[in-house]
Amino acid sequence: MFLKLLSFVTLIALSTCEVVIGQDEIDEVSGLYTIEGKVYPPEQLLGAAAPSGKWQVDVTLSINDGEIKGFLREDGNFVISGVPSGSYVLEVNHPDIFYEPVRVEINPKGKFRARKVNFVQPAQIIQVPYPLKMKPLMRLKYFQAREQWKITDFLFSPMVLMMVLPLLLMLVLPKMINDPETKKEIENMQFPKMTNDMPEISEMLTSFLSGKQPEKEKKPVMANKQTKKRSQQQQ
Amino acid sequence: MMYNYFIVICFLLCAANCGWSYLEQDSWTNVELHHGLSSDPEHFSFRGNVTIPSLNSALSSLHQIELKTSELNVLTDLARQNGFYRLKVTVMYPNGKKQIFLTSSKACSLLQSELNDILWISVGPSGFISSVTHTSLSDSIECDVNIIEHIQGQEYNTDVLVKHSELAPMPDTAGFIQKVEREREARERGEVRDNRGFFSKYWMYIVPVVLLVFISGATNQDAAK
Amino acid sequence: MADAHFLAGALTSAMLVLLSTTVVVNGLYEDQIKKFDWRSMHVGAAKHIHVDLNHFQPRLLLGTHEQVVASICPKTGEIGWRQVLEQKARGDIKLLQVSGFADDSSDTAAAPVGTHLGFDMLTVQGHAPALVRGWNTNTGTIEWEWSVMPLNTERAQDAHWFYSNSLLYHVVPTWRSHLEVTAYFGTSGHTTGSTSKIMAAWIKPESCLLSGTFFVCVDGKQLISLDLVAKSTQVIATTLDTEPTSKVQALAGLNGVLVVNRKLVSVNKAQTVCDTLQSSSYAVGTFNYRKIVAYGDLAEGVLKIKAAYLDNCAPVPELDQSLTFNADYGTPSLRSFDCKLKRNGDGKSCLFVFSTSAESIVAVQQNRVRWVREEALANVVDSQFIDLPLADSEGTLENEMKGKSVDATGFETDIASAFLRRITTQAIQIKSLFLHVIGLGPPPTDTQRAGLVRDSFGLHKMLVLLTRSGKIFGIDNIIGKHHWQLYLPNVVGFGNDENMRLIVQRTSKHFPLQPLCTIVAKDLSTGNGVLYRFNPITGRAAEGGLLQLDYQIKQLSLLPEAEPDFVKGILLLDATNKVHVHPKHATQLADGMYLYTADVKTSELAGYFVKYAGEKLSTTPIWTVHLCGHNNEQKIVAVAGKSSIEHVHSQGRVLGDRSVLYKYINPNLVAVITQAPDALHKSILNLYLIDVVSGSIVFTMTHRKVRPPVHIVHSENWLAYSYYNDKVRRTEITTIELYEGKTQANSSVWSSLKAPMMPLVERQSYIIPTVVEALRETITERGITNKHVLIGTANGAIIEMPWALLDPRRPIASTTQGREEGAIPYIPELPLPTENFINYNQTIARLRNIYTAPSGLESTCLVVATGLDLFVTRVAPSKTFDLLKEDFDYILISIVLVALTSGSLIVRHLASRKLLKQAWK
Repeated sequence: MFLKLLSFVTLIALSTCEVVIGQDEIDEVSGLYTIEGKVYPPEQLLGAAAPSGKWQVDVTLSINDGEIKGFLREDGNFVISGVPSGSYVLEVNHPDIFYEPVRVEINPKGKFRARKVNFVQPAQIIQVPYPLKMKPLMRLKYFQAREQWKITDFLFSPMVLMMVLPLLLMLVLPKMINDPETKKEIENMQFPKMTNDMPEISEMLTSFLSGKQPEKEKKPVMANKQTKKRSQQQQ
Repeated sequence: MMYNYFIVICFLLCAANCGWSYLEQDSWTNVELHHGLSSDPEHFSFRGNVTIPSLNSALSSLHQIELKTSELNVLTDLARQNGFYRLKVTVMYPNGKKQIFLTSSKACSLLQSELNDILWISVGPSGFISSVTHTSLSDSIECDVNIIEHIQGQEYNTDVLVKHSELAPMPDTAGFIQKVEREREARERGEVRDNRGFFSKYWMYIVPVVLLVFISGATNQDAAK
Repeated sequence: MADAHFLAGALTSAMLVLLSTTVVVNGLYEDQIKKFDWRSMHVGAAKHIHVDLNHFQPRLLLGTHEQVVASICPKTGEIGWRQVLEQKARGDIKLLQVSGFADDSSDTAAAPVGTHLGFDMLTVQGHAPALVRGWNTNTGTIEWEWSVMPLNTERAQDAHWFYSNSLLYHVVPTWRSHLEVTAYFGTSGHTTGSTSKIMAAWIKPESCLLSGTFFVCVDGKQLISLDLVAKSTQVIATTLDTEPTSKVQALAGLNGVLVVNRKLVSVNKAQTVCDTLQSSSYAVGTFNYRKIVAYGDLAEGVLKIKAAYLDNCAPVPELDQSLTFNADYGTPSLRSFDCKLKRNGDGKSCLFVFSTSAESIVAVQQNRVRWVREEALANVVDSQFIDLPLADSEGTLENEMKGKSVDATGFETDIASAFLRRITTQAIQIKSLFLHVIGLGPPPTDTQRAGLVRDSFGLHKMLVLLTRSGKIFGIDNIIGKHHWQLYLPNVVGFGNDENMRLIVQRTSKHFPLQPLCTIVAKDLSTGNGVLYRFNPITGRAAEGGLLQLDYQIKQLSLLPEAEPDFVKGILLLDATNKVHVHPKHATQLADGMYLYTADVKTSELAGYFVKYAGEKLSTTPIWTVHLCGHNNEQKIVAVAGKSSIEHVHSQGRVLGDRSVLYKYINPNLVAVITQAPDALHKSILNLYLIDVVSGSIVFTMTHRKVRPPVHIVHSENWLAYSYYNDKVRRTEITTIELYEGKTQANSSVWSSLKAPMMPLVERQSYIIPTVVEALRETITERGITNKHVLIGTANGAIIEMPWALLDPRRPIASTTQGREEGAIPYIPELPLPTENFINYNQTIARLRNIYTAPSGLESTCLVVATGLDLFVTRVAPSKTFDLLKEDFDYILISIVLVALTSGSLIVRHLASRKLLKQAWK
């Protein structure tokens, strides 16, 4: 009976009292944390194009599209204070250098975890050391290279090849062959081939336009020419 | 076995529930129509009632009153002036809420279609009606005065069509990752070969050689002759 | 682990391969930079200014309303360094304290050597959390920072901060009750002890302020104040002569001194002031080792600066200055000044810095304006590109042709007369050129002398920018020079989330009529509409200038060109649904126009039809659309119509089987996006495509678990919009394309009242790896060039994304299917190669908006990006197909030509010689 009364009274007390959160540490109540890390200078990458002022001024760190920003100290360290718990993408913005973004997760207990950013597979975890160390990866390439004029482009273009190579062949080959008989054969072969093909086409055209008579006349004339040449050579 | 069937049926039901244009909370809706036949912007007269028991099924029951001859004459006058036939629609939801919509179409095209018209009702994602539009079935844009003089019927022939909201697509990351994995596995196993055929790969080199051979052969024959 | 690495590698390699083979990379060449683009950097309207000429490096430190901290060179006005702080409440600068400031009560912030605990400048920003940062003002780097999260965030919004004796005090008032004062060590953030609570039942909202260490409230004719650092909490009451008519302000630099009704009043018994001085703005400083107060006033265009010693109130004659002050700078108020410390200075080295109502910063020295910073450009609201007037010779030609073409009606069809016309035009051109060369031609106008002449490609235009403060600039878009400025005081944007508008009523195509622009705005005091007409080339008012209307403007639209003077009338719908047209002679053209309004508060759209009958205009409401949802939870977030000057070149899309899929090109289609909180899905976005002539909703789509910010691009038959997916925490872009089908309903004229009601909708979503701040599509005169979407990111870069990558018809499964249409296989993430950044390393801070305009060339589109900085450039989405490329090899081609002709001549000669030889054998 007494026990029942006691339990009843405690129940009433518990239902009416208020829970008070400890107020000694302000940060824990509000859940604000600081992210720390270091950004390494990009001097080697910038090389000759390094600006006269300090590179730290060109760099800003931003979380969630500039909702929270961080700035660099002279030695490259940074501290971003007043960050509530959650998952954020931390980016280092420099107009000429690429730094890889990092996803920083702060769970409500205050534990930090940093991992690589992957939008296609958001659940993938590749951890990155915390406090953050942001190293400059590469110089951002904004420009295309102009096409340079190279001599090989000119020499290997199909037009030039078709003109130059046969020319070389025609001039060089006969000189390379020392056998006199094959030389004569080549000379004989080449000329008639050309004279045979081309007049035939022109004769076809003229025959179309004016009738068939000139064909027969030309052929004996050609034959005469050839026999004349052969007779000359044989002599 | 039965357990598997049960799981499959549950899965199908869930899929059907969360896909496409299916309203989560469906209920009846009552639509009251008043039309404005004259060019006076304030004057509307009762035209009819549409009761839609379920927006998902798009079934509806119409009850419309016929046009009186005097009203038809007023409407023809409006059509001659190329005015707008305005329709005031009062939508009543089961929770007692009322909303008034206004829609119009050219009076001339309504008469040309011989009072055959369509009422399009656009429904938002949670079952509230976002717009009611009135169109008529006539094809031509031009207003032919002769046709509207000789309109026979005075009864409305109305279709009520419901347009639902569609669900937006998500970027297809899962399919893409699977495709990349499949290609990687295929490459590892060495399945991907260029098996188009010998000729299709090397035709570019074979054809000129063949041509050259033919030509030299032909000229040899000519020379030999 | 290895899987994941390989996948990532495979992804990137796949993207690279595809990029190299299919997508055209539209990169710039390094030698093209700065030839047709420029950037101007700004800091924003000044909130706190501190000039210091006696430091080893003279500096002007600024904290601005745009939440930027910067250091400016006092001699030239150029930015030394600039740090852009956070946006919105977190970055609101509450206090800017510079160490070494000549104030009796504060110390310099000495710090132990080797630590980072000193500061040159301390800023306090935000209220929950409040961030305190210490800066090194020589380099602009931060020294330290710490944050404070107050327990009660609502009261913290009204908090004040002040710095005294190397302690930073945080004052949180609870109105009509008490004040809580907490002191922190400035550099470390540790509190000195507990919060002291001072009972003060007399404090009221809207009438209290902080002056030095005194908390002062205005109570009728009395000033009740309290010294927050004194040991005794005694309340001091000071009576005034009259009740304050304007807002009471604190005078920076003195403890407990306020400016009441243009006079100085001191509540601090230890500080006396001269109560004979009368001015609108005061500043405190030192001159010849004595403290003085300087004041400046503008009267009839003349700015007078005077000063008086604080100890005996005697005037300082050396600092008396007066200069003519251009009205276009706005109304000045003196903020800060400094003189170089000398024993017997003559006042010539004193620099006075004013901030004006037009958001400019003016520096005055030795009776003239030393430099001006136009910070109104940090808030550009609208922009237009205006064609420049024709050159002299062409102008006379146009005049002649105008006279001749009046009686020629159907001459195009007659070949003979067309030929005659061509001969006559060329004869006239020769004559005018001859006259011009001799010098007998007409004298050049002002604009022609300034070089403002249209070039042959139409790339040189006058960029007219309208800013939020009412100031208008005319800027050259090639070199960035400010040609003219105008200031329109007391105007403000419209409610309903709409800004002021800049409208072109007449372009420069109608020589000799000058182009005409109008600004439509709302009057600050009455709320009625205001129209201001001006000539955008010269920057002077035209056609009457300012016109105050007697009604509130709800909606406006442009009418087609009116006959005699080619002016497009403006159709205005007022709050009582009546219409008006300006200018009056264009009233008849408003017959048959359709207007629509979208109300952001009630999420309702309404359509009106305008009729002209009996010399009067009347409107009839013809449709309404309600997007509010069952319980009014849906709010309109974005409304996007199509550009009115857009031209669609192709009617359809050719598919793989050679059939045509016709596009649904509805010029009256408007996209509306609403957002609603949801119990199950946290936040829902709904997209509605509404035809605003018939009022029909063509298409509705719902996105779950996504939230704003939303940016839309609506053009031709497609729509692309970006939003933030809360579930997977990334930004996504959805594109929608509308098609009519295999047949076209009406190929000649579009009528919304007879349009097909259910077009085919293709849709697809993509992931974009950055945060999107602005979206805009490129636009060209004839629409032949490809459309690229310019994406402005939060990092300040503008990326040119080809439409082929955003195409919703990108095939998912097969790789060969879409090749006929020009569709690339689907990858869920959009590639952002840095070669596509059109602003290379010129990042634009706080990018807010991108504007595009067509140029005279079909291949080129002019782009302006605005935000805190301004960037102007050109893009050529299909490369410059109508121009010879810049590195065209004139030399190589001429060499080849010469070589070939000479070679053929030589060979002919040699061949004839050889034949001759052979014939002689």
